[in-house]
Amino acid sequence: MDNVIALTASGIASGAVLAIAALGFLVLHNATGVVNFAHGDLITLGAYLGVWATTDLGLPVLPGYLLALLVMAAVGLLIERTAFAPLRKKPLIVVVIATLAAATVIRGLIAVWQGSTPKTLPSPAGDGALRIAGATIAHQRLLIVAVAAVAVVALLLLFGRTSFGRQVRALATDPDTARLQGVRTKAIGMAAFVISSVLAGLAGLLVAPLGAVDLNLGFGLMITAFAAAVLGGFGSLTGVVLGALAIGLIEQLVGGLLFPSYSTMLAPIVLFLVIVFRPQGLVNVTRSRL
Amino acid sequence: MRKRPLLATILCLPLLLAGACGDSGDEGGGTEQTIKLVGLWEIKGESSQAINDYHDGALLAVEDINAAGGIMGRKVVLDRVAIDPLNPQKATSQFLEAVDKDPDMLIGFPSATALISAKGQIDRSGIPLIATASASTALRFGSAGASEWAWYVQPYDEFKNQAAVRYVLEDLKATKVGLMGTNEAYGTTNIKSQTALLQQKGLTPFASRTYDATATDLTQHVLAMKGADAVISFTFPNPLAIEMKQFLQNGIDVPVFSSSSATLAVNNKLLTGEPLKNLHAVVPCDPASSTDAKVKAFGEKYKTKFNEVATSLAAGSYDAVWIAKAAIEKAGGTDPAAIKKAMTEINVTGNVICSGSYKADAAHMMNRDMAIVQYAADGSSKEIKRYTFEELPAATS
Repeated sequence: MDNVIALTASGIASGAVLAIAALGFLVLHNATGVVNFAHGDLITLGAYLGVWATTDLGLPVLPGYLLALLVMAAVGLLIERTAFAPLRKKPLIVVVIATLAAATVIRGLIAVWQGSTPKTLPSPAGDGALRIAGATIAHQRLLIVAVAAVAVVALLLLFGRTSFGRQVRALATDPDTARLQGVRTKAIGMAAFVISSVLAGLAGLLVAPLGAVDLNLGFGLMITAFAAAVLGGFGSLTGVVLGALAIGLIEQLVGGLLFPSYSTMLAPIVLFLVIVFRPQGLVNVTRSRL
Repeated sequence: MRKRPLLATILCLPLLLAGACGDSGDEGGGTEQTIKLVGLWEIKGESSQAINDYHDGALLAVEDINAAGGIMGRKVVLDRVAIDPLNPQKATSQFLEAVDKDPDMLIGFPSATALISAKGQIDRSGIPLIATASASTALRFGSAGASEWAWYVQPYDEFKNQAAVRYVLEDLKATKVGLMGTNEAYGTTNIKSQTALLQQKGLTPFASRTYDATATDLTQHVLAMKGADAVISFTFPNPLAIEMKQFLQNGIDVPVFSSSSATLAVNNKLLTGEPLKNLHAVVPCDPASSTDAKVKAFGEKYKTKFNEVATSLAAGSYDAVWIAKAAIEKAGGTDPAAIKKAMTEINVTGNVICSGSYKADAAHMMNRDMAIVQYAADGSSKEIKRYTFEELPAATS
């Protein structure tokens, strides 16, 4: 029983990180139509910025994390200005390829800046763990769930209760009509890149203290987050959060208890099954835009 | 010795007398005054997995050799070409770049897979190579992937598995041995080998778990080891750090045996404090914990020069340069065929660090030593067991 509790907690924490990463995908996709393949490297960059702020600059952990997120916002804006804005009138495939180029540039710059030696990122939660009914749950995983919950609520409020959110939803539903209605697509695009980049950075900062920071940190997370976004319908905020939690729990519980040799394959299998049997995802997107 | 046409020799005679048209009597790219070695490895920043250990170890050896008068009175020059360990096709073309530098000997090639793919080019180059790659079964001389021009300073891979399994069974008296590793060739091949070794002793693995090398959560894998007497986990430094932290967090108090990844995880401070107390490394040597005066001096010099703790990889690279020196001296020059012959005859014992002696067996393996190193929570390490394995015959297929 203690194993089930530990695996459930681990699955929820995994799902929470995936949710933050997948929401970054979602916000950008709905506002601009772009699937950003630099998202994985932005996750990695967020973790490295955390290392830079807390280790190189010597800032306390929380101010260090905040500085890292501020820099991530600036990076998001920079990517929008250099890899998206000049290509706004180009076919979507060109923009998507530009995001791949941005990924390569980001990875290369990190390698030059920080080298290839793995680093460690301190966490405000420390290395301790909580014992619940015989199961051990790391403080960091509890922090991940708490921060993800706050982030999801903040995004729900942003997209449900503000003018910005209504404009993004309008763009996601019908971009042409939204433009005719006066939605400021350029400003929305810039804001979406900033929010997406900050969410990627946050995912990196939350997951890095569990292990080590290296150049490959974000790539695997991006792929699994993509699966979560597809599972959730790639349009619905609630759907993506549910999809992420489902992926996290499937990997940990189903993988850990039933198919230990195949746990890493479960997310791609789920992605494949969803695409084949329910391409609209778990939540009906036409009724639930963000 | 290359035979020069008579006419060219006559035409060159005046200049030869002037000392400007001389031939050292050797093949290779060194000059009359120098011997040229080319290192085949990356340094930090050239890829996500690049480390400086190979280059720094070799650099130190070159400095030591030159300070002692060089090789046969000739100064040693170390050049370098970055070899991508994860891209065999690219590594092969990079190898050709190294050949273009016209070296007297080659040292390096840290990736076994890349080395196998470059086998044809190594054969054609006809330049002796002392490889620093993990000496996998496919590199054992006589195998299809092994070059007649390559020798290995890292012990045969199988020795690492044998040492780990022998230690947990014989010294720890473990009967429930868990196996972990990455889900690519490195992890799965070792788990397969460890499983076979356990089966030879009438045991089956307590549990076997593989995971992605970029995994950030190993809860299910770690929990599967609950109840094991020992865990053998030949993995990469990052997932090893996650493993050790999660073993501690889940209250699983079990000794874990890893490879040189343990050293790298400790040196890079991926692991500090309590998670270290159950960690062991199965490595050819541990310069950081050696009590041998020569090895300690090497470790201190390395630390002073590069501000890093010397690993077994750095020591292996250092030793490879000394082996090259011995081979060239035995050959009486840099003629490749003579060096090739010398490589089968030399027994290098003098200045080397990572093994008591380097002597090539029929499989071209030069190092048969393997040590079990135990870490403490303060980051210090101690060699607790040393194995010396028998010479290997050449592969028959």
